[in-house]
Amino acid sequence: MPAGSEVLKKYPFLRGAEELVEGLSLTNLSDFPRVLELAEKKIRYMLGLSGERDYPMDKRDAVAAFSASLAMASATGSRRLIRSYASALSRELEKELSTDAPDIYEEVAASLGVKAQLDGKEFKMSLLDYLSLKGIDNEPDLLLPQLKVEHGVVYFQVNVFRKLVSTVFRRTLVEKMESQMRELSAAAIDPKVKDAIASISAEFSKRRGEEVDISSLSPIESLFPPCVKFWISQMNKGINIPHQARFLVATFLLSIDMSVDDVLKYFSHTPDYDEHIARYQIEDLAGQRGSGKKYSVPRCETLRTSGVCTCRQGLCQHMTHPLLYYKISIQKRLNGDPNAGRDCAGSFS
Amino acid sequence: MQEEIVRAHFHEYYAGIDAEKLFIPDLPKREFGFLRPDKREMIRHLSFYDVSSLKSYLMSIPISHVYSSTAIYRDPSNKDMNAKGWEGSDMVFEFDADHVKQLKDKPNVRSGVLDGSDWSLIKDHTWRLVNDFLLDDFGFSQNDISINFSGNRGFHVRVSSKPYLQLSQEGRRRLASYINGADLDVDLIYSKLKQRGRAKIIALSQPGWMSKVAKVIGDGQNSVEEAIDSIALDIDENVLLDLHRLIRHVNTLHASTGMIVMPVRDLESFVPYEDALVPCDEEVRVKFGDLRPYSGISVGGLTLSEGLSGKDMRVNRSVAVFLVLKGLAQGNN
Ligand code: SF4
Repeated sequence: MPAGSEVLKKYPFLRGAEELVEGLSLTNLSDFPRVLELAEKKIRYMLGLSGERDYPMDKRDAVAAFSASLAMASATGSRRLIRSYASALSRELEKELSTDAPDIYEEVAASLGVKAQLDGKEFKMSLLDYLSLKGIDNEPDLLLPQLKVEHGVVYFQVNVFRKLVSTVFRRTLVEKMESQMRELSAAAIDPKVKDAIASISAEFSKRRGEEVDISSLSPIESLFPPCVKFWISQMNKGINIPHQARFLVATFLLSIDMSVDDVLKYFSHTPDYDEHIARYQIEDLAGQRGSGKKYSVPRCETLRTSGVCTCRQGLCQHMTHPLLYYKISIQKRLNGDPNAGRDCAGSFS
Repeated sequence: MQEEIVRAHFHEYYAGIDAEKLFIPDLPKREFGFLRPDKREMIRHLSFYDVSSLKSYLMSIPISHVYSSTAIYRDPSNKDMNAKGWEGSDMVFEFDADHVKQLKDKPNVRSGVLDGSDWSLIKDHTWRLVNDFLLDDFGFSQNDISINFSGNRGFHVRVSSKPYLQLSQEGRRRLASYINGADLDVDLIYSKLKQRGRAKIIALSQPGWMSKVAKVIGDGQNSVEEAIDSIALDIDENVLLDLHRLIRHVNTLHASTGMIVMPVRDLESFVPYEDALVPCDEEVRVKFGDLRPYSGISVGGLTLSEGLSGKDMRVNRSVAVFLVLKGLAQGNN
């Protein structure tokens, strides 16, 4: 049963909400001009492209605008836009929840598949349900050692639970939009809607234009950070490299959007190469296996302690992250700097 | 001669064993693996319909380490891992002396012979894992947990809980980093310790890591880092995360010691070098090597000492097999 009007306006993704907007799609969205307007304004506001907010008066409009906005964001085809939009919606959810009494959290959480109950002043969840949650591992406050754990039950203070719900919400949205993005066919989008999407997309890229979107470029090996270059060169010589170095190379290549097949090629020269095992491991790192967790590239600090960092000069003197090194080097190259990506060059071949 | 003693030891053990002792739940759905002591080749992807066929197989093969999967599969003997049809995996926590940071650099531990204090420490870790983490915090039932002596340098704790069988690696990783304290936010603990009055008491009595640390600090230890160090356990994360792990099968013999990989009911009173030796009345003659590093360690009632080094003596066959396989003695006529 769909929730009441006010609740649905605030939380337009609650269970049963979708029933209200069945049949609405990017093909027929322009038949509902108010919904299109609301959806467009919502995305713009959330992405910081405009300061104007428009509040739907009606729960049906609220749900429709929310659902249409997700479809429109997916249709931009930009992972970055999708992620930014999901993050903004997740921050908004955390804020909305903080204005409501905790009683409502349970229902909000349940719509996201988070099974928890309010227990006095805390929320509780079975350990198994907690362990099955996806995508919370980057939030230190949500990790098990920081929580109250007793006899197979995990307890959350109200503010921590809000964080949990919004973190899961973000992940759910990203997954949903990315899958919509894959399934969407451009031909099915109404031209009017297409225009709106194109303008959002253009404004977003313009605003973020100062930053380089590394996932949109093809990999430029000469600008890889020294550590990644070094370990690749070792593998090319047929040398077995340490586990942490493999981890660095694989996560780095995956995070600049290389496919698993392309990443595999880098590993194929190592003496103990077994395609079956290597593919399994790389797919696991890419989050395409069991746990679905995508592993991040380790920070320079970690790489220094584990002995995987290979350069302390130039840009690397104060570097914090290999991806940042890559980004800055691309930017330098674009600005015509001939030394881009050449830190510690010559210390290996 | 020496090989003969060892071969007879293994053969008689498997011939005499009650096949039921080889039982583990879902046995026909487990993959089995066998590894020769030279560790050159692993025969795996085998499965057994029941304990009698397993026992017959054990009697027919040369001396081997015997493993079975923590996982259950629809088709355990399929050679293609993806086609095995994974249905779930028990969780296994391994404590081996050579992974415990306080022990791993001791010379006797490195050569694989543990003294009384080494065993006390490993038993303490195992007990704390079961009691403080698995029972108190995670709420597993006593019936889901079994402790096995590994047959060499440690213990395996196995959790076979139906609802947890399908737990992902991500979920298992969260359990591991809870136990080894890897994800612990030390600053958070410091900030709670700095609170005053009731707020502090409430924070510190919070079940989980917070109260564990508070208890240790209350016991007179002063630094938070030291407290964490004394609580966290060095479990081998790879073992827990590996959904297709093969681990030593219960009541088989460890091929590097001749001891029984046995279930342990009472950890406190368990004495590995007594209780896990195969009962045997026969004596054989051995010549001891250099026993100096092992002085004071007792195996099956025989206390190793410098004085025994180089001597010739008749000892119980199970003790002889242990010493021979560990390279501390040679079989003699
Ligand atoms: S500083 Fe960072 S980027 Fe540079 S070599 Fe070391 S780990 Fe790599």
